Amino acid sequence: MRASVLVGCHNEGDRLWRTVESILGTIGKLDAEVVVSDDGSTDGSIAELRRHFPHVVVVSQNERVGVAAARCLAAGRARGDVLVFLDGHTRPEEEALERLVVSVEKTKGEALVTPRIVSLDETTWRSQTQQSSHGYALNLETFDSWWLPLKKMKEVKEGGGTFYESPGLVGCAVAVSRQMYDRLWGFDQHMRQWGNEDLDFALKAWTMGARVLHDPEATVAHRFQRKFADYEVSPEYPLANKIRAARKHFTESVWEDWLARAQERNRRKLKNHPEGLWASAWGIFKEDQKSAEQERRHLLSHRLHDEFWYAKRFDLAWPSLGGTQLLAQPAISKKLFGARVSATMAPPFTIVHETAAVQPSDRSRTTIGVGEPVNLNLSNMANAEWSVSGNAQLSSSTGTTCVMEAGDQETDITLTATVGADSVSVIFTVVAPTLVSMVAPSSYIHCIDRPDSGFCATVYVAPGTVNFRGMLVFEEQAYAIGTGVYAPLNGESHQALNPVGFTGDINGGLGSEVSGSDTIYSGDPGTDPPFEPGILSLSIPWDFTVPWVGANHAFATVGSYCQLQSDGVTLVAYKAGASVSLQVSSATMNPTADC
Amino acid sequence: MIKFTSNDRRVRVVALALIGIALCGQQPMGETMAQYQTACSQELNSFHSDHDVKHLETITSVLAQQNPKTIPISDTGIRLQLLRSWIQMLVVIDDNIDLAYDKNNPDYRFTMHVPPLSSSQSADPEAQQQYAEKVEANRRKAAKSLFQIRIRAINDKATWIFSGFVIANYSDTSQEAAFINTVNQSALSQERKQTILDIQARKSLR
Repeated sequence: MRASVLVGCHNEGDRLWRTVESILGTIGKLDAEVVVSDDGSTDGSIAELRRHFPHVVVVSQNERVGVAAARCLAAGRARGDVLVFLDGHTRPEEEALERLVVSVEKTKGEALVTPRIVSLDETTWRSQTQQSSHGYALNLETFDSWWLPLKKMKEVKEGGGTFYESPGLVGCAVAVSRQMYDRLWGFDQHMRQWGNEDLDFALKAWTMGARVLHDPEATVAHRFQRKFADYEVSPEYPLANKIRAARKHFTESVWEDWLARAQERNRRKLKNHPEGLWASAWGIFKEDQKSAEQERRHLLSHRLHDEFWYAKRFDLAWPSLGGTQLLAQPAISKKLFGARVSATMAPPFTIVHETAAVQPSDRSRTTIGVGEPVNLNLSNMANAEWSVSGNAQLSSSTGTTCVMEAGDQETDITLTATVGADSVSVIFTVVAPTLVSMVAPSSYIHCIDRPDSGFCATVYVAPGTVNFRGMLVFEEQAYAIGTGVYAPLNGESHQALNPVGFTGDINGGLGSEVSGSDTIYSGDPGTDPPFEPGILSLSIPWDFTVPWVGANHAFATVGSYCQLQSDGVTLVAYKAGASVSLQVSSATMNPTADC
Repeated sequence: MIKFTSNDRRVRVVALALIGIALCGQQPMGETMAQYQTACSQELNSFHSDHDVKHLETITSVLAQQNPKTIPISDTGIRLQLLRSWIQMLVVIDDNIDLAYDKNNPDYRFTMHVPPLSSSQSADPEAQQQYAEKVEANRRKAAKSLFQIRIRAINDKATWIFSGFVIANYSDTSQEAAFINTVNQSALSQERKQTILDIQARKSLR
């Protein structure tokens, strides 16, 4: 099959079937199929489409994921050699589809081809051709984009056709060969909701050695809207998609520079984001960073051109290999990067950072625990000015060496070192404890023929990917609930020491080892046999504190119980995943409960 | 607001240190070297008195503020005084740290929770006395363990910052006789002396 026309949609109402009607009306003799990909529509538009065009293939996502994922779904179903992506609110003009397919073929499939875009009046379903839009420009520093007129685009002749180079593209209408689509890993299906997935695709094309060419003789009408009336687009998603695109495409120093600037630009708090837009977007990005890192490795190892090449080709000020430009945010840049603010020339030093804790063994990790100290110096041992944004403290603001200690908040910390006019930054991610787990040895605590049970446990706090030696933990006061044989102990207080520290050792997936062991023991309620089955249970809140900050934070509730089971002879003691099981008749062991 | 009223660089260095202290949220301890030394001594005395690691943390913070400045070679007195202040504190750490700390060592082993007496024992005065002693012994071991954990953290931090002070202010040559003699004649542990001399010789930062 020569081509597949792929229509992405979400709650398009009547526009969807009218789009498909337009496609079928202009497809002519083109050997092509139409595939509609529904991104979780709930407005009945798919049913209406099926009523009008029962033979059109529809693939659906059960819930709304995003426009990129919908396009990927359609591409997965497509059989054509050329894929033409259209939004579900477009109207291709006469011969436009065939023209796009032919144009892709003229480039031997080595270019993405975009049409002229005009406005669509959705009421009359007629094109308004008095205004045309052609190319699409992209600012790498902000991922802002805007239309480019033909006269500002470079003309190229290829395969007998005349095209114009476009730095970016608009996803509402673009054609690409199947082969090229696969080579580029398609649209990024992990980009959520809407926004910047098309710019990401264009950037991939250029850096991977393809091109985005504009064919002004193919026209597609597109319904523009000032705001999203039929579906919600939350602002954190376009920003999260920008972060994702930047992470995938930029080399490390450019990424760090971009990140610091983007964070500064997006600090504002919104009505639905009192924590700040950046925090929400960053959280979305982090949720799926693994897939971004995977594609990043692929792109950076296979691309023919880097972001500097792209910037130079399309006359962008940032990033630049030769420059010290900082055009958009001079005040921010000065604050964050000192006088020289370029991500483009590698500074003559790097930050050497090593966790003070020797475990986990990767001491150069940038994910650290709350309170965790990190030793800092520069690769050239220069005297540096140190600064940090985020919840952390530095031992001093300047020096050859410095110690950074994370605070008590789960957040990102940007650490910057400046020497003269050169600055470099490292971003650390701080994680808080999530879970208490315990390991019991094979021994137990018990007196023969009594209903008491217990054990001594080694205590760990997860996650084990960081070291919590910079914080302390303690159990809050709790009171036991006793039933059956343990009824006399009902209301007993569980008095724990506070606070306790960590040994500095890490146990695999269990986490940081607490410096004290724990004693889980029912005590003997003093009841005479026969013993009535019952349970003595506790629910104990655990807090952590970072000494230099001082506040207490609850992070887990640990369940504990000692039970005489219904058979009247089996005793079970349990706490935080550790347990022992014994019989009332079991031999006396460790009766003084000394751990 | 501290104003420089003297061209004496020594005064400037100390004053800058005091500004640093103030910026760290601690109380300014004065504007003269004597005041600064007195304050450090007082913190050390307090530590000897109550064995609270926070005093060593305070001294480390104060001394860390000296890291920024590469002290002019002519100010040998300032450099030497700061070196002695560092060594004075490191000696205290050496005297108190147990490098062989092990939570399973009977001297340190404690439990987070001492279970209450059984009902049958709770009325027995002798059992009560033993229980109280057990709780107190456990508390002491927990405090002793926490002390080792915190002083080890201070040791790591102070050693790292001190290495920056050495790198910034002393060359790696044997001409730094005053430095080498001061270290060798100090009460530091032999291992610590070697570590410091290795730092000065740029053999190691740690």
